[in-house]
Amino acid sequence: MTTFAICSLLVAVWLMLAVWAMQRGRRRYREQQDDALKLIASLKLENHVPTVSRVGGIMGQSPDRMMRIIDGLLEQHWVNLNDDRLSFTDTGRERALHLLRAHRLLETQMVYDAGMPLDQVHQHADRQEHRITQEQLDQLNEHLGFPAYDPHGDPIPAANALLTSSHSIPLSQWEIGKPATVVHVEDEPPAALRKVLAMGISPGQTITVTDRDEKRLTIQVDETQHTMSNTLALGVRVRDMTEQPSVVVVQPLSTLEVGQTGRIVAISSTCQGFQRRRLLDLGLTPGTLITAQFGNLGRSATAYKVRHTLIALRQEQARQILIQDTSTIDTESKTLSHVI
Amino acid sequence: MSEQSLTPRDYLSQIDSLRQGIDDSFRDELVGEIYTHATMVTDATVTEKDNGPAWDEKLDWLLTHPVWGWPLMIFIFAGVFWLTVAGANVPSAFLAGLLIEEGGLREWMSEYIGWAMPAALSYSGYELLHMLMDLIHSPEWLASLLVDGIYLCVAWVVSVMLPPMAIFFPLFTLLEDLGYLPRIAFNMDPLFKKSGAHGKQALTMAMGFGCNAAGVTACRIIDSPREKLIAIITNNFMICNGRFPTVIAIGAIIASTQLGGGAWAGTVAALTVIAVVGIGVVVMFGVNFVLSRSVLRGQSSTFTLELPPYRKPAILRIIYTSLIDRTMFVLARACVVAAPAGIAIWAVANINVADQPIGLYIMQFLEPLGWLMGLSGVILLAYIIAIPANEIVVPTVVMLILLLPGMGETSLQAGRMVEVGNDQLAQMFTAQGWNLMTCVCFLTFVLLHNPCGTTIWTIWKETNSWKWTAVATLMPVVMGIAACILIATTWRLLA
Repeated sequence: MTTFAICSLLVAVWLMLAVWAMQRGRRRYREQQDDALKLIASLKLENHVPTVSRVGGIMGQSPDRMMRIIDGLLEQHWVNLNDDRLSFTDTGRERALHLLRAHRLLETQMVYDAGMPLDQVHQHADRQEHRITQEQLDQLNEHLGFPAYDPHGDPIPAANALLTSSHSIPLSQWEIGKPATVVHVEDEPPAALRKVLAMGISPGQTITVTDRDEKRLTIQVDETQHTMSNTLALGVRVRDMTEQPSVVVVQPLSTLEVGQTGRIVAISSTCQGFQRRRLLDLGLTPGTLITAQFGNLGRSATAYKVRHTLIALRQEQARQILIQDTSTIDTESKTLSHVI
Repeated sequence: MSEQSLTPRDYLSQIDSLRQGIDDSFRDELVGEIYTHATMVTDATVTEKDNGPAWDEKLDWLLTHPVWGWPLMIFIFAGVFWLTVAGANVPSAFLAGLLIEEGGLREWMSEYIGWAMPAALSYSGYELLHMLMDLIHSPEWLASLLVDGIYLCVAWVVSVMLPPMAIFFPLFTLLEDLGYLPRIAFNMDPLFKKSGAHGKQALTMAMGFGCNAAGVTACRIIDSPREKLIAIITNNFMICNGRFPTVIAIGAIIASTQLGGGAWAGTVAALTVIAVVGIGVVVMFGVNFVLSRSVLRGQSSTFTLELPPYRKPAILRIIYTSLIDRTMFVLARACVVAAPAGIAIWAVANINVADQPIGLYIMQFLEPLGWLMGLSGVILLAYIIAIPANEIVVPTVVMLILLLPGMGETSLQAGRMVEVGNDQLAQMFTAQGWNLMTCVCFLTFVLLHNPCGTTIWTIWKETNSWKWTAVATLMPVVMGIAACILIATTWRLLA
């Protein structure tokens, strides 16, 4: 009797483990199919021909395994196979777009909403993107305020959009001396991303190439010079500066001494998402006069008077707000600027 | 014609495609336009008197001064604590008389009013309920369970918890309404920033002194989910009103055993409270620091804090919101969790197995761990059954001591929670062989143990995650056990 009970218990446990392992294997298989779809999409975006061997090579899968994955894609009518070349069906393109959108929206949420460091979000998004549904994605999109770009600077496609590639070129090809705006920072490999971020390069930042040779180039970010290898520079995509800064000399709000007044010129483009909205909603819009009132211990935060309200900002936030010193502006223009 | 054939779906997809064409600056310009328009309206309609009072700027200078803003802050909070602890004595005694004590309000009346109550009126709710149970001939065990167990526990929680909360929360809301609380957050921000947390955590922490459950709810004001979680998890390190009585009682015991009691007792008790509160704040910053660099790693979020102008407080609204929204809300939740605790307390003391109450077996089982921690099985069991409400720790300890063999000769009735005077408490403690080390470890454990049932429930409601609720519950208790073992071992090695 006891023996029977123990045996059946063991069998039950074994069955449960087997079912669990099977489900896990099936999930892994589905995720690999998704990854293959994403890879085909990104190859197409970069004007490469997606072939089975190429996709398999990048994914690091054995030919046998890769054939199983492609078989799964064919079974679901997501791709067509012509010789070795892969092309999307309509449903396959939809799925790929969904995954891309999910990945970028999730990264956006993690960085702008949850404040996670940029070099950590990629792997989390890779895991979560397979599970999120279209409805959840739409909700997330609305919650984030329909962002146009993810924190890497990649465009976030709309639910029904077609895939387009952005018109930017790698930093390695940028001409010397011409200021450029960073639009994209490649997130793989993570070590490279960390190196790039450590130099202060992130989407929205303005940088200038000051010198280059065959192997490396020298760049200027804000006031500091950095050197980076050409391979690293391949992962940083830049384009013409969207707006030339006017003749006005700007300084960060954090440099404003207590008692001084400045006029807000802009909020830095490195400040995005929820944080940017928050600052704007508080009335820190361009043209507003702002006075540093008092600071706290070590001036980690300063209270500013804006539109008759006291608002305390930490040093980091104040650094992202660009102002123009008004000590030279006479009182008449001060009252005028109230209306601007 | 064609417009009629457009479905809402078509409109939505059109909106989506238009949205793709909007560039980054659109939102900035939109908000800018709204503000420009609002400025034009106010400029046209609002006239400003320029002789406006500069007193609020002077007050700001004083209250947020990098040097003496801090002592002022500590002074104000010490004042709030003192008012809470001192002011709660009389109403607590009143409620205890009304609900629990033998002879009802007679003692309270003669002490504070000087009126000898007629014996006919001198019954407490506890006694009346027992009479009622006798009247309807209920079985003895049922009367004991309902009245000695559930009623007594709930009544105890109410009489200990309600008065301090009804004093602390209005004072807290008053500071909030005056506009002082945001200035505290501003003052303390450097410390919170260094520990990787949000400056507004200062507010939720201050709230936690009143009640951790209310403090956890207050964490909603922190936008960043990561920093909100840190604030929720560490709120428990703020000694709440419910734990004050325990700290004060042990402070008094230290005074009477080490210093012979007398005039020093009050001062020592007050110093004990301040020390424990201070250590709690330090621990909170330490845990903030560790959490924000390990499991909850991330960049610190925007710290934008409005410092509202100083206002004349709206007294009626303060009383309403603090009593209804905070005090009653927390009290109701506490009563809901105290009722099952009453059953547990009754069960360990009154259900016998082989002629011994089961509490005794559990205490014997817990004794080795208790010894290692410098405590005893009695205190550990009291903590386990006081999980729902920390207010009842001391009365439960007393009840459990009375269960122990050889303690039957006292005049106190075993098997239910009892309140005793400080000197009697000190005697009972010394009779157990408890010394200064026990008191120190007890105090450590008061600070570092799991949040009470109400707080755990609130944490679950706020985080919606079993994982983080478990972390917030277990982390402090593990820390507490480790700290107690460390203290006790060091103490024993040195002694």
